[in-house]
Parts: sequence; C-alpha cells; structure tokens
Amino acid sequence: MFKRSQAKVRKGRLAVLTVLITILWLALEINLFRVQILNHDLFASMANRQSSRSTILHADRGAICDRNGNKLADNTIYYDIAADPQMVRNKTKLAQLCSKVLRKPESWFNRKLNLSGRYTYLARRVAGRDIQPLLQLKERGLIRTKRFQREYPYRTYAAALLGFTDPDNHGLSGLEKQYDKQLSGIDGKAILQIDAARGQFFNADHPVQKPQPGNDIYLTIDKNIQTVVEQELARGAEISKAKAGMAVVLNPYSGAVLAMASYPSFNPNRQQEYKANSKRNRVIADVFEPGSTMKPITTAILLQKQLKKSDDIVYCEQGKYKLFNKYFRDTKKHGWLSLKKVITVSSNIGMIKMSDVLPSNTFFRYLLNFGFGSQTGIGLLGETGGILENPQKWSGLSKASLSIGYGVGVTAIQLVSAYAALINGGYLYQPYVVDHLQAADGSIVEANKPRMVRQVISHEVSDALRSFMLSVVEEGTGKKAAVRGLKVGGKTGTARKLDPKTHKYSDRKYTASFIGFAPYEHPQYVLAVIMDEPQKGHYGGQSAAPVFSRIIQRIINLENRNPMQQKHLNPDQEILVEKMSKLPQVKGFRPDIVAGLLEARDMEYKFSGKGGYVTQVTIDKDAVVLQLGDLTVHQDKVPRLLGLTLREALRKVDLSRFRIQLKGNTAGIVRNQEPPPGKTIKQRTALTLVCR
Amino acid sequence: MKKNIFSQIDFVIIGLVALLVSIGLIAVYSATHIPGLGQSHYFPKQITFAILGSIFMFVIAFTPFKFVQRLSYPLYGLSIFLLILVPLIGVKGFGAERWIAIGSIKLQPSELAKLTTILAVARYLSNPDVDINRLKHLLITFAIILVPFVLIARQPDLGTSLVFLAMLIPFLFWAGLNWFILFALIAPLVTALVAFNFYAFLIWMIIVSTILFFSRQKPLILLFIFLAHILVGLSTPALWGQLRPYQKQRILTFANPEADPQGAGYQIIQSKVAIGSGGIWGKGFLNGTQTQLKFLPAQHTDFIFSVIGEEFGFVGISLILFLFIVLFLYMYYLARNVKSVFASIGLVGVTTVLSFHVVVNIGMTVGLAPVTGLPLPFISYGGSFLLAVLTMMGFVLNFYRNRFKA
Repeated sequence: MFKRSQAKVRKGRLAVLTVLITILWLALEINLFRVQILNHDLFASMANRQSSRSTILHADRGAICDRNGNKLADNTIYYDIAADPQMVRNKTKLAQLCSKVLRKPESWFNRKLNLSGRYTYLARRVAGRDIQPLLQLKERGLIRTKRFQREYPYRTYAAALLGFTDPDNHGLSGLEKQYDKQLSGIDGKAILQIDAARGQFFNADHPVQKPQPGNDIYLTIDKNIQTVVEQELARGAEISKAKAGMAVVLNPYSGAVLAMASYPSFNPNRQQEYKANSKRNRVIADVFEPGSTMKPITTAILLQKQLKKSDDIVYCEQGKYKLFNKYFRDTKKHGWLSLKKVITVSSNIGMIKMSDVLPSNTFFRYLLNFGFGSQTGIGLLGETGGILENPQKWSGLSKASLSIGYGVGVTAIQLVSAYAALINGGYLYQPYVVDHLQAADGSIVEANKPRMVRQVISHEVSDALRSFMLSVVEEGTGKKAAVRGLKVGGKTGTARKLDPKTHKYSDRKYTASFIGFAPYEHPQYVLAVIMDEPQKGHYGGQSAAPVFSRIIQRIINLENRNPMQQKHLNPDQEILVEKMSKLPQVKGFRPDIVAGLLEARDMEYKFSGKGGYVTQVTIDKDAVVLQLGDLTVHQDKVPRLLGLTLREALRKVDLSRFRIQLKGNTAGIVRNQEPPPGKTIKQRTALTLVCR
Repeated sequence: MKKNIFSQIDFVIIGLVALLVSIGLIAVYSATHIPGLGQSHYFPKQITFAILGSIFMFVIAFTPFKFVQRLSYPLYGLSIFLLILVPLIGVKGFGAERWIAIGSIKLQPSELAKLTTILAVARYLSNPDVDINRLKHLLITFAIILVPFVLIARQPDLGTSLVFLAMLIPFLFWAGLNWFILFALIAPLVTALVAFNFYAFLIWMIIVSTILFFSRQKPLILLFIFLAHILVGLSTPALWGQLRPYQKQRILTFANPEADPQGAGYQIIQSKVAIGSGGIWGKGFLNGTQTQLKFLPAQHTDFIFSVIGEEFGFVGISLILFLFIVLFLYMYYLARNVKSVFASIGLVGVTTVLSFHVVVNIGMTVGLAPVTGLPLPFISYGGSFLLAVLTMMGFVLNFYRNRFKA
C-alpha cells in the first residue's frame, strides 16, 4: 500500500518541484538579463570608471632660441615630493635618505612621516637633478609629482620680446602669447589601469597617446649681441639718468632683428614682481618724435628727387630763423653750410631752408615709402604704426617741422628700418624677429624670409648718406659714437618732448637718440639707441652716442673673438669649395668611402659626431667637415644665405646637396643667390652665390 | 540488466558534472590569475581536488547499494561527532571555527554533514514503518536535520546552516507529508512577514481562515493553528521593536545588502558591475577588468559566478544555468523513477542541497539574495566543498545504477 501511494505521491509532487525549480531558474535568468543586457551600459561605464583613469601627459612647451640655438626660454622640471605615511614601508630609511638629499634634519622627516594623514609634502619645487636618489627609490608611499616650469635663463634680457607664461604654461605676453599655440604642442593621454589595491599600470589595450611637443621658435636675435645691447643700454640709461630707453640692432641687408632691448626690463621668471610699465616692448610700441635723426631721411629725399646736391649751400641765419611767427633755432650759430655740413652739425635752420623746395606731397609719399605712418610688419603683437598726418592736414609749419623730425610719431623699429634702407643701397626690408619654427623632429614648420618691401632711394643717394653720417661721427655732433679702429656712421637726435598737459614743447624733457651703422664699408649692423628723458646730457650726442659706440665696439670684438665668424674666405677655402663642387654626392655613404674619395682629391677632412653614415658635408676653416649620424636628414630646401658672409654661408650649406658657384667679390656679403631660399630641390643642384 | 556499461553508468550525470567542473576550473584559473605574474597555487590545488573528487565519485558509484544504506547512520554519527569536535580542536578562519586539521589537510565537517544528513533522512524515511504524517516520526525527522543545523549555526556559519533548513520542507514534501501539515508549517513564516502591514496581515488571515475552514480537520486543531497565527502576527512586530538599532540594521542588511554600500553592499555592487559590464558575449577569458584587477571580493570562491559573468557574458552564464537546470530536473526525474524510496529521497535531498546553493549563490551575485558565503557547486574554489559535491554525485550515480532495486 505504501508503495502504490508512494508512486502516486511522487508523480504529482514531482510536477510541483519541477515548477518550483523552474520558477527559481527563470527568476535568476531574468535578473541576469536585466543586469547584463538592459543595464549593461551603466555597469560597463562603472567598470571603466573604476578600473581605468585617463591621465594627461603634458607636452613639452617649445623653446625660444636665438639664431644659434641658445635657449632664451626653456622648460625645467620641478618635482613635488610627498608621502603617504600609511603606505611607507621603511620610514627611518626614507627619512634618512630625505635628510641627505633634501638637506633637512632627519627628525623633521620622521615627524612628517608619522603624521596620521594620507598625504604630506616633504619638499616642493625641487629640481630633478638634486633628488635623483629619491626619484630612483622604489617606495610606494613616496609620491613624486613632475611639474614643468618655464625658465628664462637670461632673465631680463629680451624679456619684453619673449614675454612670459602663467603657472599653467600659457603665454600671457610677448612671443609666449603670440605663439602660444605653436609652442604648446598637443598633450598626450594615457589610460592607466588601477587594480583594487590601487596599484597602477599602463593598459596594453589603450596605447599611450604620446604627447606632441611644441615647436621651437628660432629668433633672428643673437644672444651675444642682445647681451651687449642690454648691458650697455642699461649702463647708458643709468649714467644719463634716463627714465627709459630702448635699443634695436638690425641686419641692414635682411631686416633681421639681431637684438631688441627695452629699459627698464623685467625678469620673466618672477614677472609678477614687476610693474606693467617695464614689460612693454618699447621698440615696437613706443611712439616718439625723432627730432634730428629725421634729417638724413629728409636729405635722402632731397637728393633722390635731385632737388639738392651734396654740395649745395644754405645760409643758416646765425642760429635763429623765423617762419610763420615761429622761431627755429640751432644750438650753435652757423653761417653758410653745405647740405652735407647741415647733417654733420645737425642744423635745424639749414635743414628747414633746404627742404623748402620739397613739395609736401612728395615728402609725404617718401616718408610713407620709408615706412613711417604704418606698422613695419615685424610680426609682433603690440606694434604701433606711429603718427604721420596726411599733407591735406598740414599747416604752413608742418613741412619745416617734419624735416627736422617734429610733428611725426615714429617707433624705434620704424626708424631703424628706414635707416637700414638709407645705408644698404635704398632697399626697405620688412624687419622680422622670428626666423623659423622648428618641430621636435627637426623639421622646419614655418620659416620667415627677408622681405624686401621696395627700393626707396638709389644706390648713389644711399652712398652719399653713408658718407654724410660718417662725417657726423668723425667731425660732427656724433663724435662720441666713434669706435676705435672702425669707421662707423650715424646721426644724433635730440627732440624736445611735447608736454601732454600744456601742448608745448618742454625745455627739460628730451628724447635723445643715436642711430648708426657699422662697419662703414660694408655695414653689418644698424643700431638705434633711444633715451627717454635723460637728466644728464640730454643731447643725443651726449647720452645715446656713447652707448652706440660701446655696443658696436663690443659686438665687433665678439666677432673677432670667434674665428668661425671671420668674414673672408682664404684662398685655400676657395679651392676647397671648387673641389667640392666637382665631388659626387657623398651624403648617405659610409664615412670610410667618403674619406677615400676626399683623400684621392687631396682634400683635408675631419669627422664630426658619431654614426655609420655621412649626413652632412660642410666646410669649416680649411677642411671639409663630415657630419656623421645614423639618421638621414635631408636638406631639401635651399637655405637662406642672403646677408651672410661667405664663411657663414658655407657653414649653412650642405655641400652634398649643392654645388657652390661663387660670383663677385668673395670678401663681401652674399647679396643674391640662385636658386632663391626656400626652394625645394630634389637632386644635387648648383647654387650660385653673388657677393658684393 | 548488467549487460552493458550504459545501464551501469549514467552518462547524463557524468557529462553534466564533467562540463560544470571544467567550467569551474577555467573560472578558477581566471579568478586567481595575476596579470604579469601568471598562476598562483589555487589552480593546481583545485585540479588535484577535482581528480580526487572524481575518484570518490566513481568509488561510491560502484559501492554495493545495501552497504550504502547501512552506512548511512554511522556516517551521520561520525559527522555529528566531528561537528562537536570543531569548537574544541577547530582551526579559525574568517572569524569562525570551521575547519579540522588532519595533518596538513584541513577539512570542513559541515560539508560532510550535508551529505550524511541527506543519507540519514533518506534511510529513516525509507523505513516502511515510518509514516511521516505521524507526529513522532515527523519530530524525529526534524531532529535529524536540526542537530547539525544548530551545531553549524553556532560555529557560526549561518549560510551553511541554512542549507539544512532548506532541506527540511522538500524532504517532508517528497516523503508524502500531507498538504495540511505542510501548510501549517509554512504559513506561520508568511504570517511573520506580513505582520508588519495591517492590511496585508488582514488579507492573509482571511486566506488562512478560508483554507482552514475547508480543510476538514478537527476544530480544536483548527483553533490552535488560528490562534498560533494571531500570536505570531502580534508578537513579530513587538519582538522587532525590542531589537536594538544595530541588530535591526544587521537583519535589514542581510535581507537587502545594497542598503549598505560600504560593507556587504560593496561586494554586491562590485559583483553587479562585473556581471553587468560583461554584456552579452563577455570580455573574454582573462580579459575581465574587474576580475583581473581584483575588484571582485572572494572572486575565486563565493563570487566565482561574477567572474564567469564578466568574462563570458550572458551567453556564458546562461549556459551554466542551463546545465544546472538540466541536472536538477534530470535528478528529479530519477527521483521519480528509482524503485527504492531511500534512493528517491536521497536524490531529492542532493538536488535540494545543490539547487539551494546555486540559487542563493547566483542570487547573491545579482543582489537577489543575501551574502551568505555559500559557494557555487562544481565551480567555486574550495577543496572540501568540491569533494563533498562530487561525493554526492557519486551517490546519485549509485542510485542510478541500482534504480531497479527496491
């Protein structure tokens, strides 16, 4: 009986158990479906957030370099050193090491490491080289945070040009602001995986996006010249007790700015401690009345229009001349003076009377041609265009005032560019200060070329003006600009400042200036020195000319000290150049093969660098220099050689890519080149350099 | 009858067990894998126990049926003895004494007790003289189950002890306890739960009264049961009010772990994140971020299912659930068809124990069940448990082999 009932019971109850277990099974399946499929996105994002963290890898900010690659603005790495006291395994050992490296008593670190928190600073902003042992230490409780910081190694030099950055490395002024995007580069990204114990490691599934470093800016500035200019400007300004000052050096044949200084300057490393007044790039931003430094311009126009000749004479009224109820005076009484002498002694009356024949419209047009009244296009933020009124608004006195540099507002960069045109044969170049931008891999991203805007005056007029300005220094108002052993030319300027309150010219406040060039025979530099309100010796010849002299003296000395920059090729080098032009392309060959080729031709050579291949061939002194390397870098663009001496030019040319042909006076400066700079070449090409 | 091997060995059971154990080994491998370092000692240890367990399974499968039946009580006695021994010579682990060390081997007597209790109950209820519907026999059955329950709950190992309570109702049900007593046993539990809401309690009491009215039992018994319900209904909220706040909190957290995100809730949330982020197809073997980065708690033991969920997705875990439901339904089918009452009740016991583990463990990983520390049969890491489970399957194979014996 039991068995029969048992079987019956089993049959019915099996169904119940089956249903029950199936219901439970379904409940699980439904819940899993809900979690895994319906809410998948939510949980997936939670998992991602939990297990991976994206970290920004900061791109190195590009450096700002001078024309020789000296870094004027660079990055340094600082570290913040902190500890998680709960995680540190060996506290005494760490404290000992810290004490040794960070030079603080061990007890101080012991106290720090025994704090109860999870994060305590041990040292902030320390340079990596000082704490190498700590950086190498394997200690999970030690937190080393890398921080980048902009550094300006030359401090106040060219500070206004370079500008500065905020703590997050964004440019706030100067080139740092203007080229912020180019300098910044692109930050990279790394996905870190974090495990439950909070150890971190890189995730192989998410390759690290490497940061793309910013481009380096190469300036036309020469660090050495800049240094000289900064030092001498500051010294001159202090001697003459000037309120402010500025100086700018230009290559007259290219418009490249070699130095650009403002006084007072500031230290961009600690820019917040300085007044805004000292952060302005005065050379491009400050407008002033040039005074007598305008006279050579006026004279050039008179000569160019053939309205006057160098030896035309004028009566200078013994120092006092009345025009429309206004008296013009000279500092000394003069009688009859030639045009050249008017410049030499800087006679206002002579200049005014000479320019009487100059039509206002012609005058105005030429002033525009010289670049006055508009921005030079130097390519810097904050440049002002100066003030030059249209002839229709001129009064009867305007032309007279303009001829001696009043009633016109100019910037130092305008004036120095105009002077470059005065002495280089009449060519107005657009000044520029950024030579090129170079990517981290060495490729040129963006390059500036010298841009000749127009020819303003003829070669003959230019030659005449150079001789006029030579006599200013030799026998006129600019004697203090003379440089021992070197013929230089220039012009002094002393302008009364217009009092903004009374609208009258002040008796006490002057703008004193000297603009000149050197050497006289083949000018390499045009230099303007401008002093604002000098208290001692308010004449340009007194306060600015000596600064000019000292700067030129030192720049020339710099050159002589560096034999690499000797100007002239010696006969051996000329032969070498000729021989090289007959040599097959040697770039990319093994050094021993190239050496064999050169030996066969009886050529001196030496190796530079290390590597399995010849990457570049240049000439230095009397020998061919074979640059070795493993990376083949092509010079596939014609380099810019204009305005360089042959010596300098040959150092820039990869002779394995170019056959050099020289024309003209090899002692001169490269005035022309064929093919033109920047042109892309595919094979070894003839490069003709015309020198004068 | 003994002509071929197919009548001797149940290849359905063997196949399902082999599949589940293999999946378990894969999951343990992944859960204990250390990125960059490779394997720890867990995986080889688990393989060793799987092989040992399989040997046990086959040995038991071919043990004479009569011998198994006779062994039931002595084995039960042994396991009770070991359970008593645990607090005296036990080894501590996770704040409770669960292990007994024999040389270098550590054993969990509670795992043995699950098996021997099943056998003892089956042996007792298969006695032709025992009628489950008689109070004396019912109480003895209760006692067989409650003795190990109390001993294990005192270790304390609440999760494992609950397995014994879970066995109770299915055993009685399968052994033919009549519906009325079944109702009388289960209904008070419902009453305790609904007592917190007056209207729910009222409706429930109407249902209870109706069932009682139509049950045609003696009025005195009916009255007793009815009063018992009223008493439970009134006393439960009162008892609840007597509890201290932290005690209430502990009970609530047990019921709803997600209410405590720092403690038990943390495990549930991590588990759900792991399973949920696996999606349909999973992240792939050894590619689960939550698993490999060790976000999952106890991922090679209690939360092994989350590992599979993360790395093999909905498809992977549905396969496992499918294997389990096939196994359980098949064992119920066997329970209906074996001739011997002992085997039939034994099969129901094994199925109940295993399915309770499966439902509670998987329910835990998705937040449906409290975190009790019950491992997933065949799959979780753990030597004693794997041995116990495979031994149970050995009995299942034995019952199949002797399915025609009375």
